[in-house]
Amino acid sequence: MIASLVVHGLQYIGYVLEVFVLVVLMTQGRWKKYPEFALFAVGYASIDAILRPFILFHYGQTSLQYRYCYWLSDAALTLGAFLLISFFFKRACAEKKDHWPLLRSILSSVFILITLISVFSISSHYHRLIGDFIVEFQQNLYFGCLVLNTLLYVMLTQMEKMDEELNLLVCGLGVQFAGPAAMMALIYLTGIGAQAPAFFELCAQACTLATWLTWLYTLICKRSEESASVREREETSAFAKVSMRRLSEV
Amino acid sequence: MVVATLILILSTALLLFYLQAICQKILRRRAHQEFYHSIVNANRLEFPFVRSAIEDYDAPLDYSRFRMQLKCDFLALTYLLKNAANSSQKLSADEKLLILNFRVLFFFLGVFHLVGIGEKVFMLKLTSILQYFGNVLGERVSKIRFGNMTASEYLLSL
Repeated sequence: MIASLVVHGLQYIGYVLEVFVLVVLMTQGRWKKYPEFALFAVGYASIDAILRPFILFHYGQTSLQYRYCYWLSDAALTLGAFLLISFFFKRACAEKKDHWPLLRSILSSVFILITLISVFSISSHYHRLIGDFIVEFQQNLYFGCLVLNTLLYVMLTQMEKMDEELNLLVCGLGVQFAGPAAMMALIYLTGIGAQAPAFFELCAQACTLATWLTWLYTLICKRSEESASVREREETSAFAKVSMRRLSEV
Repeated sequence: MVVATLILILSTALLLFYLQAICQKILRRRAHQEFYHSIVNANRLEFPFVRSAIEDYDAPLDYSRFRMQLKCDFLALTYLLKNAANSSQKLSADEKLLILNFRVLFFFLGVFHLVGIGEKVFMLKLTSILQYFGNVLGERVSKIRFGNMTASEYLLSL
């Protein structure tokens, strides 16, 4: 009962955060700087806050329809996140443009390969999707994205001029992948049984919340820092202009 | 089985790594600020001495004393953060996250002390969190004026 309340609480806080992030992205024009991230955020929020609750409301939490909807959309979102990381790699290569063509061909081949494997394994197990198969499948998919994300993080830290915003967005994605991957591996190893769905939901919601909080922090706090420095620069230049005028008068 | 075990270990380690990285990035925002001196002086906080003892003098670690000093500073600073020059009397989200981070690191400090490795690294991380709190508080207090003096000047004149 308490676990269910906590999960629902985290879920609703998550919805609010998703809406906040989208509002910040749209109203402050941040989507222009990160169009791929904005697209991913919109897709994630529509699936998490609209599609899943809609199916849940119509069919119920224990229904097969909801479970299929949940896991298939989860796989689609993970592939979307893979694509997002690939776009972030492009940003990370802005300093060393000659690395990008090779990286692009590697990333696109890996993405096509992963998508084909995912489609093939899901379609071949479609009628007995729910169970050990999907847990193992998603665990591997999450872990693959986590490894790629960590490579990106390492690459970003090696850059001469570190992009703090991008770094934080990548950290948020890392939390989103690492938590569920660890939890699915634990469920797969121990087979927690009847407690598994509740345990999974609790951890997944906590990680999602941490991710969206990080993204919101990145978009809001970095923005306020930037505007503060702009304001400081404007004040300084205004002061300099006044001083110069007075000097010329003297 | 082996793959799942490997994924479990690596993913848990990376989860902790990313959470720590987020906290470090929040801390870096105020790393260059020097507002904390007035707060340290007015409240006789001891974390700068702990840090200089570890960094500058490379002195042997007086674990129990340093641990107590850091804990006392943490309690004082979190109380002040919540109640001093804070009309809402609430902590912000990043302050809450850093408080959680402090508690986790403090726990691991005890664990690593038992093993006997990495205590200095943990203590330095704890002092950087305390410095962040000091900077937040110092900046907040410096904006409030008591007559002709700022609050920090007032505190220093006591």
